[in-house]
This record gives sequence, structure tokens and C-alpha cells, in this order.
Amino acid sequence: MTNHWIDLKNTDCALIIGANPAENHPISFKWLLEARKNRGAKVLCVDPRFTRSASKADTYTPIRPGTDIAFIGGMINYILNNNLYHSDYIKKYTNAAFLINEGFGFTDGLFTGYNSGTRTYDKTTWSYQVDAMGVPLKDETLTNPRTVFQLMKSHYARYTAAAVSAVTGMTVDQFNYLAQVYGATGAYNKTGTIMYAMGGTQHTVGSQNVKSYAMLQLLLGNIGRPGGGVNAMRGESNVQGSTDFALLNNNLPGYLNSPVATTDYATLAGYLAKETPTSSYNTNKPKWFKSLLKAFWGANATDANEFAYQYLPKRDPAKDYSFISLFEQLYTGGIQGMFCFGQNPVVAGPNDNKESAALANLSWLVCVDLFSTETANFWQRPGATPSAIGTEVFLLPAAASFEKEGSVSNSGRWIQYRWKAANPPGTARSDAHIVYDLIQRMQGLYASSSDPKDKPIKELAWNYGVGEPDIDLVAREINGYYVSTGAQLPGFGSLMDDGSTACGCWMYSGMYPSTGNKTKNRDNTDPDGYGNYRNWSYSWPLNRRIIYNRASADWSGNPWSADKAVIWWNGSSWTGYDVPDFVATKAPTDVGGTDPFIMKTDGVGGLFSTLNEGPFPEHYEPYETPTTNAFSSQQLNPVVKIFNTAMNAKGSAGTYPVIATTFRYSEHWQSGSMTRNCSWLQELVPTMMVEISPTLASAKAIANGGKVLIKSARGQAYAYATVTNRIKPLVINGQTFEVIGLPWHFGFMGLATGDSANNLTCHIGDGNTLIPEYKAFLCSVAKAK
Amino acid sequence: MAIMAKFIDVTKCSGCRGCQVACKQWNQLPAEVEAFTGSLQTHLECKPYTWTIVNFTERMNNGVVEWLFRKHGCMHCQDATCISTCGVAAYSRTEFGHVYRDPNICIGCGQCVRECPYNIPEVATDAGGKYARSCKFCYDRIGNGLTPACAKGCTTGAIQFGERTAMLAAANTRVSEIIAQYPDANVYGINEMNGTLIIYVLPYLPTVYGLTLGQQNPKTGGYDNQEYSDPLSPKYDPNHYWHV
Repeated sequence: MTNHWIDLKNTDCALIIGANPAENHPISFKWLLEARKNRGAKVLCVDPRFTRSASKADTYTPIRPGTDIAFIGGMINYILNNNLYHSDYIKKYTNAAFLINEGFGFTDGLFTGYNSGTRTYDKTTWSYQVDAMGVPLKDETLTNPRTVFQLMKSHYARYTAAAVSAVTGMTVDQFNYLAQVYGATGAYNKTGTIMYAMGGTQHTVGSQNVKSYAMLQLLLGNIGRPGGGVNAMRGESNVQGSTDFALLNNNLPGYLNSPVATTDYATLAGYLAKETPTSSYNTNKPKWFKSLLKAFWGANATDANEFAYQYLPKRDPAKDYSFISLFEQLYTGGIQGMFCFGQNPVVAGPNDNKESAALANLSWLVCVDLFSTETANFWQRPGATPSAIGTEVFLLPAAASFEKEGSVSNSGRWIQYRWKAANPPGTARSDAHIVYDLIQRMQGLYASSSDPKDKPIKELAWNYGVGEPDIDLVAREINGYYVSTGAQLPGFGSLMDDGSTACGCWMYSGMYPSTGNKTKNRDNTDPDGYGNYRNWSYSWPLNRRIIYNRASADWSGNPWSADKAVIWWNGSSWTGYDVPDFVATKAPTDVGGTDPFIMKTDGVGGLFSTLNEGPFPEHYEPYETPTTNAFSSQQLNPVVKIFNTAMNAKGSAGTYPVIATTFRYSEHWQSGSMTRNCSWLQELVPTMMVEISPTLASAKAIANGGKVLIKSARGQAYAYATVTNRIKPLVINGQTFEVIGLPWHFGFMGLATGDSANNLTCHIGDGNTLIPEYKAFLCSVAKAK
Repeated sequence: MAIMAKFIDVTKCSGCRGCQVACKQWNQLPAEVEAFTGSLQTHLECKPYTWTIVNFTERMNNGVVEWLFRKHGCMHCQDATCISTCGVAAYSRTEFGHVYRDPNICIGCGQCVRECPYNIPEVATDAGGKYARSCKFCYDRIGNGLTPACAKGCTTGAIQFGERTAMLAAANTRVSEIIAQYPDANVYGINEMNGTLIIYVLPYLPTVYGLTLGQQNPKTGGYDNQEYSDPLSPKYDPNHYWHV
């Protein structure tokens, strides 16, 4: 989230798209309902299904799965045509005024530079025009046809209300209403928030979906302001924390890229030269990176050995390490062992039958979980032959969240300390203890080795006490300290690139200064009334609650409107209700004084920016779709990787005419490995269901509550029918298609059992991140015998 | 003690069923897994060990689909059929005004089950004996200054708990806020059953939510045996329970 949960109460309009917060983030609705009560805020819900969020919204609008860009692109077109955008905001705070390379263009779904052989772009023309000094050229009148503004306007001119309606299935009236109501937040004294989750991201165009939300928010001046923002609602209590700490396969803590095995990255100097830009706050990267290496290898990281840079594993540039690619490789063989910490790929993977088959190629599998999961039992899943599977499976009992101490980082970036409430049962241990013990034992095994390749393990600084690791020591190291004295650093501004500081995650530096661990702060007073609660826990970066908050003030430093104040320029410094996400003494008239986006080299919001598919989001159809792309002859996102592999067949509308999407209930969580073992939740949603429309039910002679068989080109799932008006067929490009919704919580273990919806989904991912396209695929529906 | 009440604002209820789980957890009630109903609503009525449920009502209203949620459970009527018809005087009223059943007196005859206009109590036999079960208004919590488990667990603030007069006032205020959008908005429980301790704000008429407007105790016409059992009441009659 650029903002945070409580800040939802400051909004004038919430657009919920690709999310179901009433069910999956229930507390958010407490604040939305407060915004509605106190500010008259509107809540708009756009979703393939009428959900519990829709039931509490002012307006519900259906949308075909996988067509967010068509809808948001239409919104952008409407907002530009009707002059609803925040013109002062976009002139200075975005790259709307920047002139783009004369060579850049767009024809029939493709931007300049496309190579159909490699399915990649040469992005050379996706660049600014610059003067002799390399400074970008601008036209703040926004009239030059090469401005980002004009290029964007012509790009989205094709996204008319009629086109949006034909592609998304919402009516022209529904679309116009949403565009008008949400577009009204472009007024200086209004803000709107976009709340999204996996319904936005789990698509072949997932990254571009989110980019389109960001563009809409920039156009309306909704970033950096109370009640605004692009707000990713994370699906787990600490998923924000885990991504902050390098959950992603190409990351080190603090979103630093891990090195690749190329000549550019052969040395520390090479890495830093490659990764450090020439402007923006990211010029400090060498400080963050070297301090991280000092935290990893302590006294063994010195100037003489490149601060142990060579101890870091380097990624093979020819390989991809995302979930799909890992399981593709596991399926063909070559991966020996696997640790699954709280992971249940047999239910949650994007092609469960393939995932299950692939696991049999492992020599060993370690599952660390609260309950025995489907993954731990893949070898005796229904239909499997246990005697034919040689994988040795270990199940380690884990401590639950309330049985261990430490911090949890919520979607709003608040790092909140959590104390232990009870001891774990039996021999269960915290994940941290399991990893700590494992590495200690590995260090013991390598202790007498003189092989240089064992040095990264032998020399790892790994001293957090005896037994259960001392989380306080871990927290201190995350914050960082002066190597010479061991004193805690006051914040990441103190990090050095000479080896004199150590820091486990630069963004978190400041959470535990010498005065104490601020994540334990519990002051629930809110003197300003904006809900920032600055002395409750600690938010990264540097306790800023609304990031990019320089944009909450106008060019000269005054709030855009009095009741939307965050920070302002008082003549000598920035002050206000939040920690400035800006140099506190940089005046609006200083160089860069109107550049709120301090992590970007150009300092402004990127309406034009370079994701792999192109600088502007463009609609492409999902991998499996019953229709053709109405916007261009490019049917599929031109840069996605297609896995033409076994057990990953692509279905067509002839055999699989029904559009399907997956979702979660509030009563179950993720793959259900916890909740399906809790009888109080089992009784609330006891079995696998499918939501189908009355028309589909009648066409297939399916009774409400009757058993249904759903098939895709990859697999099948049985489910009980919920026949409901909450899901409806949509008219797409003149043809009517049924849509169904399937929860993906179920598996064959636990109390509440059923087939996983992910038996049906596919190994196909986004063009930038490879996040799987769980949310749009084709299937057939029939009454089961 | 003041008469206490729960104010349930269904316009704020998102149907998450946190109240249902909180109730089970506090009262340590076992799950009752029901056959699939074709809806998210798994329990169509309160059960012996399921003292509160959320009713899910799906309907079309002028061509627009609506999904309505109402937490359902014992209304704690001020003229309660369970009190007025119980043959063994197992029911009484506490200092907070809610209905209390003494399991040591209850014989599980089912009279209260048959008479309750809201279909609340259910008889079950287990190691604790054979007796009727239903919401206890978290007597063990409110007696210790805590809010009832359902109110505590409510994610959106749809369930409020406080003195009945304050809850009524809050309900009336809420109706005034939503009356423009919902012309039928009403407070349910002011006079029904001589007043209930569950005060609903409903945007539509009570029948839409399966409630009967103006529901009264058909056996007493405006009072329950509390008045018969109160020695200071003019209607005091020590033999009353055996005559109804």
C-alpha cells in the first residue's frame, strides 16, 4: 500500500477492483464504512462475481476476468476527454510533460522494437528526448504531440465506452457512471483510493493491470494524499514483510537485486555500477548493499574481499527461478530436494496435477507446517501409486504465529511487534529456529573444510544465541548498527559504503534505534485525526505513513486542500502530520523541489514507464479466452513466456466454453491447510462449491446444491453448485458467455475436503513477474453423476 | 443494573461470520457440520451448539441483485415465551435484563423450543445432561465488564453493546442517517415482544429479513412471568408457572 488501512477512512471514493476486501480483508470495511458515514464516500465494486464486498458497495459492476486494462484504459480516455484530471499535479509530479523519442510508436498492439522470435522488446525508443546536457525536454502546456500526455491520449482514444463494454461485458451506462464518479476524485479537494489484490495481479497482464491503476491515480492526483493511493491488499498477515525480506526469487532484502552470473556482475564494483542509478535516492545503493554484506558475513566481509560479494550465489541469466519455472524444471528432473515452509503447492500451485507429478522427482521433501498438508501427502494423493514414488518426505511441526515472538509487517508497511501468547505444542518450533538450527549444523559439517566454495557457509555471521534464536538480536541487525561500537543506527540515512555499518534490510533501518524497538510502540492517540497513529508500531520507510507525501502539497508547498493536508512547507522545512517522504529542508523552489517520487531517477510519477510489454498498458486477451482481441491482432501479451510442455495443454472455447475465475472466502485461508483443519471454519464452508448462474444451471440441468464436474484442458474438479444471481453471463464482442467462480481452498487432507480449483489452471504467467494466471481460464461445466 | 442490549446495524454487516466463530470459541461449542444448502448459509436455524448464525438473503430488487446479511440469535425478549411457558421455571431474567436458563432446572421438555417465535432454543443431550441451549448473552463476560463475544469479534462495528437506552438512541440516529437512501429503514425490537435486547437497524422492512413486525408473545399479550415471579409485582403468583 502507498497508504495504509486506517487511511481508507479519508477517502471520497473507493474503487475495489480485483479484490474482495469485505471477505478477505474484513477490517478494511470498518474504515470504508466510516468514510461513507462521515464523508459521504462512494464505494464502487468491480468484479466478475457479486461478492460480500459488492453487497456493501454503493455500486456493483460486473467485469469479465482479465479485462482490467480495457476498463481502466477506458477510464483514462474518459478522464482525458472530460478534463477530469488534476492538471497541476500531472504537469509537475508526473512525466506527462516529458517529450518522447521521435522513434517511439505503436501499431496494432505492438510498440516499437518488438522481436517476435524472442518475444521481447528492444526498449531503446521508449525514452525521453534530452538536451545536450542529458536533461529531459518538457512541454508543460502538454500540447506538443510528443509529450507523454498527448501520446497517452492518442493511445487510449481507442478505449471508448462502447469498446470497453464490448470487451469487459459491463454496459456502456455502467461504465460511464463509474468513470464519472471515480473521475470526480480529480478535483483538488477530493481523493479516491484503488484497492486491489490477486484479482488484479494473477494475470498474464498482471503487472500492467497494476500499472494502469497507478496511471489512473496519477492522472487524478490521488497519490501521496490521504484517502488516495494504489493499495495492494496483501493476502497474508506478513506477506509484505516476506517480500521486503527477499521472498521474490531475484531479490535480496530491501528489494536489492541479487547478482547474475554475467561479466557485468563479476565483481562488487561491477554490481554497484550496474545497479546504482546516477540520480534519485537510489544513488545510496552502495551503502545499503555493503551494509547488507556486513550483516551477512560480519568481520569476514572486508574491503579486501569485496565485502564477501563473491559469497553470494549468482543467478543463471538463462534461467528463471519463479514458481512456474521451478516446477517445470522439477517435472523434467534435476532438482533433488525441496523445503516447503508454510507452502502447499499441491493445492496452491497454478497446475496442481503437474505440481503433484513433479514432486515425485524429488529425492527428499521437507514440509514445515502446522498440519499435515496435501503437499506432505502428495505421494498418497487420490489416484497416486505410493509404491512408485521414491521421495522421502519429512514433516516438521511448526509453531503458529501466536506461539513465537517477532514482528509482522502489514499491507500498510506497519512493522508491528507481536509477543508470544503460548508455547508451541509438542516439538513444534518456529521457522526461525528450524532455519537457525539447520545452518548451525551445516556450519558444523563444513567446519574442517578447506574448500573455498564452503566459505560462504563457514564464514556466515550466524550468532543469535542458543536454541531458539534471540529475535531481539535479529531485529537489531535488521535495523543495523555501527560495526566499531555495535551501537544501533538511527536510520538508513546513517548507512555507509565503507564497511563501517552493518544492516540486514536498509528500508527497515530506523525501526530499532538506540532508544529501543519502535515496532513495540503502542500509543493509540491520533492527534491529527487522519488515523496515521505515528507512535503505534513503525512503518517503513522512516515511519512515513503515506509515501510520496510531497505530492499532497501543491508546487509551492501548500496542501492541495485544507482537509487533505499531510505535509507542507513552512518557509524553512517540511512539516505536518506525517514524516516527510522528501528531503525535509528542500524548498519547493530548490532544484528537485517539486519532484515527489524520490526513488525514481526523473523524480516524477511514470505515466510512461518501461515494463516489459511497453510504456502504456494495452489490452491483450487472457491465455485462454473464448473471444478475439478487439483492440489489435495481438491476441496474447506479446512478451509472456509460453510453456509448451507436458501436462500443460491449452484449452479452446470449442471444448471449454465457460470463463472461469478463482477466489477466496473469508471463512478459509489460502490453501486451507490451517482453516480446513479447524472445525469451526469447516462447518461454515464445509466443501468445494462453484458459483454458477441460473442460466448455466438450467442449460446443464444442474440443481442448486447439486454436484457438478468442471473440466479444463489440464484437469478436473468436482464441486457442489451454488446457483445464484450473483454471477451472470456476460455479452462479450456480441456473444454471450457464462462465467463461473471457484474457491481454491480445497484439497484432500483435513476436515473440510474437496478438489482444488487449481487442478484446472495453467502454467502461464505475467510478462514481468511470471505470477500465474489463476484468475482467467476456460472450462466446461456438466452435471456430475 | 441497567438493562443492556446489542445494537446490530445490518447496513454495516459484511457477513464475515466472525461473530459466529467468536461465539463458538468463547462458549467452547462443538461444530455442527450441516448438509450443503446451495448457499453460503450452512445453518438455516440456530442449533443446540450454534447459538448465533448469519442469515444470507439473496434477492432481486428492481433488477439489481442484493445480498442481505442479518445476525440471528436469541432476541432476549422482555416478554419472552420461554419464560412465560416454561413448565419448570428454568428461565428467569438477570440483572442485565436478558433471559437466563438454569440448566440444572431445565428438563429438556422442548416447550420453549415449540413456543419461541424466533426459533431459537434447541434441546440436546450430552454429558452435561438433557436441556435446551441458546445464547446466554455472554453472562459470564458482561458480568465481568466485557462485551459479548460476538460484539468483540465483529470486524466492522456492526454489533454494538451497551445500555439499552443508549443502543436505542444509536439505532434511531442511524436510521435518520440512512432514511434518505432507504425509505423503509426501521428499528426492530423497540416494542416487539415487549421490547428485545437485540435492537436491529434494518434498511428494508422486517419481513425482508424474516422478522415479523410487531411480534408479541401470543400467550401473555405484553408481559411474561417475570412479573408473576416478582414478589413486588401486583401480578405475583407463586403458582403461575404450573398454570400456563
